Amino acid sequence: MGEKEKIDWYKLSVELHRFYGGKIETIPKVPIRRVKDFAIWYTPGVAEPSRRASKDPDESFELTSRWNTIAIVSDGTRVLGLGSIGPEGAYPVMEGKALLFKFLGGVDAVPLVHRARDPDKFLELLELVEPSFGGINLEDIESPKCFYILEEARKRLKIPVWHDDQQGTASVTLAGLINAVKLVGKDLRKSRIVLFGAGAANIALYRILKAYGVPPSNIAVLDSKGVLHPDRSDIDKLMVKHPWKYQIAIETRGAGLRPGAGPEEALEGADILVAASKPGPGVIKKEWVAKMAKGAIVFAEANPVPEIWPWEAKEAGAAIVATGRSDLPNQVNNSLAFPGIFRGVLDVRAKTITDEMAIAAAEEIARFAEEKGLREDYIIPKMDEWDLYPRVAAAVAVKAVEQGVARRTTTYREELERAKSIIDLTHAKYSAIVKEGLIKEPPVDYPVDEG
Amino acid sequence: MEEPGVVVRQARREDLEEIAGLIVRFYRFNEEFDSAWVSTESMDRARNVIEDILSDERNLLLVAEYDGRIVGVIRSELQDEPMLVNSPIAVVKELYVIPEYRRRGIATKLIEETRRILEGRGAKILAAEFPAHNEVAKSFYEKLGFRPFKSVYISEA
Repeated sequence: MGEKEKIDWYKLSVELHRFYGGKIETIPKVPIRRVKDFAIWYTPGVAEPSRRASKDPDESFELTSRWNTIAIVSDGTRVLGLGSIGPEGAYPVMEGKALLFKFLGGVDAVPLVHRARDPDKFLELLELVEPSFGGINLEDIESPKCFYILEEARKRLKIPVWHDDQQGTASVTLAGLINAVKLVGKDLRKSRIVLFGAGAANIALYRILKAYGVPPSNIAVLDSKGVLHPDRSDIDKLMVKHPWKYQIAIETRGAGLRPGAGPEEALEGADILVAASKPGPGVIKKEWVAKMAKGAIVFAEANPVPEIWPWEAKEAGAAIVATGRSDLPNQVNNSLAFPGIFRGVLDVRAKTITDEMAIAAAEEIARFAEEKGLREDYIIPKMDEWDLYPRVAAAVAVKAVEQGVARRTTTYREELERAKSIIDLTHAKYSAIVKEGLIKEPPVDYPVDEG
Repeated sequence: MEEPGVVVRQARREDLEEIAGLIVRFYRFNEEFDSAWVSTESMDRARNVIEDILSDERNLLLVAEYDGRIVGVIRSELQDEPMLVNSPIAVVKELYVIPEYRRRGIATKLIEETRRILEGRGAKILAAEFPAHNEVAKSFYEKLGFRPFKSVYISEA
């Protein structure tokens, strides 16, 4: 951050993507000593693993790479802040995510971008490819289609399906909130919470908060037309066009606000604001934050610019502020959750990821930061705290076993060791390749400062 | 599911204001499916229409009351179909339940009470009108044993 010189990440990124021809590849993990070895890994030997997996599909998790392989699936209808840019446009992002999955979680992930924009076609595709994978990570799908797809896919598939823009963001946000309320001496389940923006992240957060034990009547959810409320004039339209918003309106009853209430009214006396809406600054006004209760917690998660700058929120009286940015304190970063969550579910061959498992991940992330010592500018771990990922895996795996959704049993300690060794092995292999000079030095680079 | 606090009864003059509000919401909702459902936003007009209906014996207006509040309304009318053996048929023209009170069987109760009363007035068939693309209404009526009977197609004159 010391360097004031502006780095052109776009230009650099294109040059390096072109130079390396993408970011990931497949490498064998078994010994190939001589041609004869192919008789084990391929014909004739492979016929027997095939017979067994055919007879007992669960064997495919033991005899093939399926147990550690997930698909990162997108139709490219809502990519980053770029909008609906199609499957080819989505690919670089999915491949980047695959890289994070491997490096942070030791998970083999395959980008699977496709043209099935119709939600039922999308679901059919997931069902058709299910046998290839141990899990599905949905990514960058437009709202409200993404809610339907996730809900249905969770019902239809016998492998974990996760939509990171919903559950990932919600889990890490919950982790941050758990610690934030500790610092200001409040109880999350008794706090008045305002969710500003009713897209993928906040609608999932609402559900997770409810599952965590926050009464719906404490949560006001606002979209661009104001608070979701049963007496809102477009409520019937919502029932048909957006049943998720509709359900929130009915369950929360608008959190005691009047039908037309906007953010300013909603924030009066509120303890917590989570904004996941559109890039700021100035989307959340200082005057609104000033009306919040003492010890106000403000999460402004829009990228690249948060709905309100942290210093503005602080000036207006916020005690704790988090954003989505890596160059500001308290980054709400999905990468803290998804690698460990998938590590955990894959290791116990889980059939799904329940909301309780997402909460277990959030609590573990929160605990990790708490053990390091909570501060107003440290409520969430940072991405380079490598010990975090196996711990998330262990917490999630144990919860899966406890809830009866795992094909294998384990203990916290056992999964912690296993996750650690899988991730360590990935790093060791990667380091060896780099040390051998098998990955070329980048021909262009950015300046590195001491950090 | 039976809702103990809900009473279904015939509408009264003093219900007018509340009923008018619900009927307007019903049409506003229908407009979402097809703009041809656009209807008066004037409460005065809505009140007048309902007042006429209250005194018309070919019409039936029932309300669901909960805790002193009108939470649902149904209007039906007897229509002659001279060529049909089953004439007259009873047609549900408007049915609306306030969102917070849905999924409690109130609409079902309103339908069944309508059926009971209009059977007594000679109706052999109970019909319901709703926007062609309202899938929620379609599945609601199908669950109650209704089947598609006739289609109404429109084009702007």
